[in-house]
Amino acid sequence: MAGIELVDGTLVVDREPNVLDELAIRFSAVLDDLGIEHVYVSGYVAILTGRSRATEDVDVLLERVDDETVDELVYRLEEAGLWGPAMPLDRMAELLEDNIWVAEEGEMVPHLEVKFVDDRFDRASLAGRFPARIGGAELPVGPLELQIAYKLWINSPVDFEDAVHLYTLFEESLRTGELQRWVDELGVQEEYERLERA
Amino acid sequence: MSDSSEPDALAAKHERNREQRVEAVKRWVEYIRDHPAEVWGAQQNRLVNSQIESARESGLDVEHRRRVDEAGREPYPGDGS
Repeated sequence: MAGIELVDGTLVVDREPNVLDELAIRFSAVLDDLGIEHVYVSGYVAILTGRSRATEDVDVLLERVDDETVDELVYRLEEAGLWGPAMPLDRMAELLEDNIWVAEEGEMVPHLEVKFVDDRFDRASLAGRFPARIGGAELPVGPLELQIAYKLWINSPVDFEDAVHLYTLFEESLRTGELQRWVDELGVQEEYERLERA
Repeated sequence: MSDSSEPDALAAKHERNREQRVEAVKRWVEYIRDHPAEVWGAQQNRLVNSQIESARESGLDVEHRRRVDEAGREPYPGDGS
């Protein structure tokens, strides 16, 4: 395919970064500096890989870190010109259990929806992350098979279409056993059959 | 008095709409495969960036944005899920 390739375990995206990518790149640079493991998941993975749809948010999961590290993260995010448009970033340690928005200072959108890994699906996304390269930067993204199954589980029109995009685009490189495993674990066999028929 | 066939007609309309949207997603993937990144990427980025620009100009508050986001996560009508 033209401009999106899986090369030795790295997803190479050859288009120019858009505003969502730029925000993610900026956020990851801070996290990488602090050595905080994280992973981009859900709709952003579809958009990163070319899905043509609008969104205002980018979902990102963080490994659990202590309050001191969160304080350092808040300091570094503010230093990098980012802020919390919904809640101030100094409440981050408490809000990471649910989610906290992070955006370019003074802007409401686009925003990152940042949260600690919570359940086994979050942990599997973090553990199975792989690099995506765009605009000279690298972003960690969740395993495609889990993203597809998770989208089927949510099953809104937009999420099903995200699953169609990922499944159609990466059909030949998806690990079908892995996809079936997540389909079984999330109980979305019926939706998976609909995806295969689509 | 209501037309008893109305719900069926509505469901069929939803189904057609769903199929058309899925077909459009698949056509776009074909387009990505057949065109260089500077062509499809520029089109995709125009859509993504312009929507963000419009959202910024709208000046909607946080609670309104959350409600819109949640409404967009409603399952398909009739799916029962």
